[in-house]
Amino acid sequence: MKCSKFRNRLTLYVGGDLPEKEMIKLSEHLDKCPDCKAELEKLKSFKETVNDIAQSDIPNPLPSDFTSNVYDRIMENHIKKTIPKRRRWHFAQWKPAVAFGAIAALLLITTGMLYNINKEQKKIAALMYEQVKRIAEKEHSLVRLDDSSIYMKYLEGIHRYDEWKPSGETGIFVILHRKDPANDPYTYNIEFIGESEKILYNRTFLENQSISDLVSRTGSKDNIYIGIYPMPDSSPSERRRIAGALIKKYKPHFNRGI
Amino acid sequence: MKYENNENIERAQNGDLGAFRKIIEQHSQKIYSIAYQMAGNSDDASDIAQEVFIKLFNSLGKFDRKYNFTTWLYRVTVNMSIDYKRKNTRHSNIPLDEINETSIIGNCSSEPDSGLERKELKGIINKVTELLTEKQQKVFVLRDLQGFSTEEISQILTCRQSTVRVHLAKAREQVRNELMKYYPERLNIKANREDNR
Repeated sequence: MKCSKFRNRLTLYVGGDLPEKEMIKLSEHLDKCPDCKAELEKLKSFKETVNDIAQSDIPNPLPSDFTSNVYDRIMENHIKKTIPKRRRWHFAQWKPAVAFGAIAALLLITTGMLYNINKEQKKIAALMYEQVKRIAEKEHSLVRLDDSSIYMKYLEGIHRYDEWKPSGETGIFVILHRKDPANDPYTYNIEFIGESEKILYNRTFLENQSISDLVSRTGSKDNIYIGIYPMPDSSPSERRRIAGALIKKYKPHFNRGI
Repeated sequence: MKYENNENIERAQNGDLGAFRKIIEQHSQKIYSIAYQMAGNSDDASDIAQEVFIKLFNSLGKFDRKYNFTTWLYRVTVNMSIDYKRKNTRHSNIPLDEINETSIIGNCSSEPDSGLERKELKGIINKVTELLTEKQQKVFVLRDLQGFSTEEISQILTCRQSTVRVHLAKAREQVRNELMKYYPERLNIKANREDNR
């Protein structure tokens, strides 16, 4: 076979990208042909240069809030798709400061900072959340709580308590009870809210209350769930502050008197 | 190519946001890295990676678990990178501060003066890849910059391996010709060194 036929294949040979048989054939030719071998050496230095660049060219680190940004954008998209046009038009007429407030409120909510949300912001955030919730319920992607909650939309899980495998996360946990799974499968009562640096069986609900108390209150262990609001790197006081606000809002049965 | 643990996907399909978060955490670096090589800068790559996961969230319900999830995710990434580049025109130049100092310093121990050259080379490769056809670009990035095998690329791009090879050969030829224009000595020095042995 002529050299020209081999030459065309050298750009692939140099990266080991030919089928095995062709690699062997070309290798045999290279042993006999100094011209093709010289060309291969040039290609090797090209390939080394590209490899060098590929290995050294590292992008800036992914922003630490990347995941929460993805979540926020998912929610924004839901809102855009689901708020009726008329309502959106009204929203567009609001003063920019109020619109900014709404966005700020959403951000505050999504990061778990629940304080100092004024009435107007709360109203707008609630309106937006209603739209998100409607879709979420349809897609089973979020949990509807027994209150028009705007705070708990990033609960991880939820997991059935008896199937839950704790991973020792840091954050707030919520013990939930599904009252009427047959007729109202997406509504949950909040029975207990706690926080821990390491959420495990023996340091969560059980630390303060026996699960059997909950079973006797709910009638069955089948409908007991746990949701987790992860707060990695949070301090105990931050977690207690947020858990305290949630307890104040939801008044869970098993938090009374604690 | 690593096969995905289907448990997280199944849970995410059933609405478990925690499982979806795990999928993001598991794949975001690789997705970001592919998008970076396709787009040429970190800002665009971060935007593209976000778009990929938003699309994933919206279409996860339709995903058939008998297919390889990772392959599908990488396919979405390269396609979204191309779409993004079509829509945005600010991708032509790599910012000077794009290649961070530590990466340059970290790789300069054997060739102390090569940091700047490497930065320039990256800029040239970045520009050259824009001259490639979209298919050549996808194949070149996946094979030569990301290190996937031709078989894996054929799965990601849903084409035959022979097609991958055709695009790869053309892409390498073109990138090499362009690099030769700017760095003939670099590409020949090593070759000459080999010749003299």
